[in-house]
Amino acid sequence: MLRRRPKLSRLQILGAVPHLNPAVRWNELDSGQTLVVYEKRPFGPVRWLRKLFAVPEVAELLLDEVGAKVLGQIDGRRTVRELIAYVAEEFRLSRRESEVALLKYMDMLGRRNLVGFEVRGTVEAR
Amino acid sequence: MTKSNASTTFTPFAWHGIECEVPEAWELARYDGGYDAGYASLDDGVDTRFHCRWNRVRKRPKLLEGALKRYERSLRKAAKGTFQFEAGHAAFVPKPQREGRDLAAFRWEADTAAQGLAWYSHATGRLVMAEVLFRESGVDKALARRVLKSGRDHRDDGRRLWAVYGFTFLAPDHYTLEQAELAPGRLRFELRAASHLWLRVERWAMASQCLHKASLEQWPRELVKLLGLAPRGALEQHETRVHTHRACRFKQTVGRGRLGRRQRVAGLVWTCPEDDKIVVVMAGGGVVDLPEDIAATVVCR
Repeated sequence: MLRRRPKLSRLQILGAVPHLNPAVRWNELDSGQTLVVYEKRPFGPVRWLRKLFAVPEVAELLLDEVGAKVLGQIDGRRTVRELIAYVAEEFRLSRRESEVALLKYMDMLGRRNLVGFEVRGTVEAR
Repeated sequence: MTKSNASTTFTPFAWHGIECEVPEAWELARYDGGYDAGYASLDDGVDTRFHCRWNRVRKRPKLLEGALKRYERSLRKAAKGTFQFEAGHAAFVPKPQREGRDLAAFRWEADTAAQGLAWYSHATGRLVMAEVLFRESGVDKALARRVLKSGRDHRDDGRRLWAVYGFTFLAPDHYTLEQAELAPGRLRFELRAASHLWLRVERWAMASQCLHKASLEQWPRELVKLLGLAPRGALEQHETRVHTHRACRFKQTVGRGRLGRRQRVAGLVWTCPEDDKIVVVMAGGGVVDLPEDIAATVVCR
């Protein structure tokens, strides 16, 4: 429900390992893009409103070539820090540029429950 | 880029005229203010490693001592545990680099430690305080001195260096930064010397992706469109070379509304395939040679 997101230190964020949600369908397209099909999980009144207005229960998200390439690197072993290094190397960006872009991308995937994060070490609750 | 004895690669960092050489892994993390007063801090991905503050002040006796005392007070107030502060003579700065400025070195230790250099520049009237930060246990005096020694706050050639995230260019020093957009994949500097004299320098990453959507020949038209000014007359465009790379030089008269003042915009756009970057330099106010001058200073492979 309205769970608070745990407050993570910078080191914990960089050391976290992203995992793809196995319940999500990842369809690679010929164009190099990836079509992500996932089930929405609304809560509270939104659930009732959705039934009332017949809003589809499944959502689709089209990731561009860059997004799809980064997604292909998520193997359940690589840490966020390693993914940042990959983005910097692959797209010839500075470390800071790739960090900002990747963290924003991970945040977007995380908010949609497409990706979960394995955080090592103690996590302080906010 | 230069290498130190410890094989650390150093790269220039320059912001509002403040210049120094820092390890390549340190990148701009926060900035605020302008030429007269501001700050910038660089991190290594985890910790803040370099911090610099500057402000224009009137020269008065014991200016540096006063500034360091105020800084010590503010640090002492914020420190939770033990705190040590020392200020002294900046003997590690070579004599030629001392000319035209009053210098003082300082160091402090709390939960983090710092080695710093404060100076007052007679040429710019700016008081600058720069410090290299370390975790308490890992103070590297040689590294701190290497970075601080390279610090300066103006050039004598009438130009000002801008260097962040590996993007470096020199612009005339009467052009001051009006706006900077440092977004992932796109760095944009908007500088202005007068209401009609402006300069825009941009670096776009992932050039291969960008050129897939619009060829280099289509860029000038799109760039003029992005200015938000109505084009007057035809766009003049010629193919040229910058640093051996394929480039487009363009000129266009633009205006605001029917009766708005017209101005001549000149620009240069080129792509560096080795870096996978597109660089754009545009100048307004009829300074047609300025884009070429700026382009010559852009470091590209």
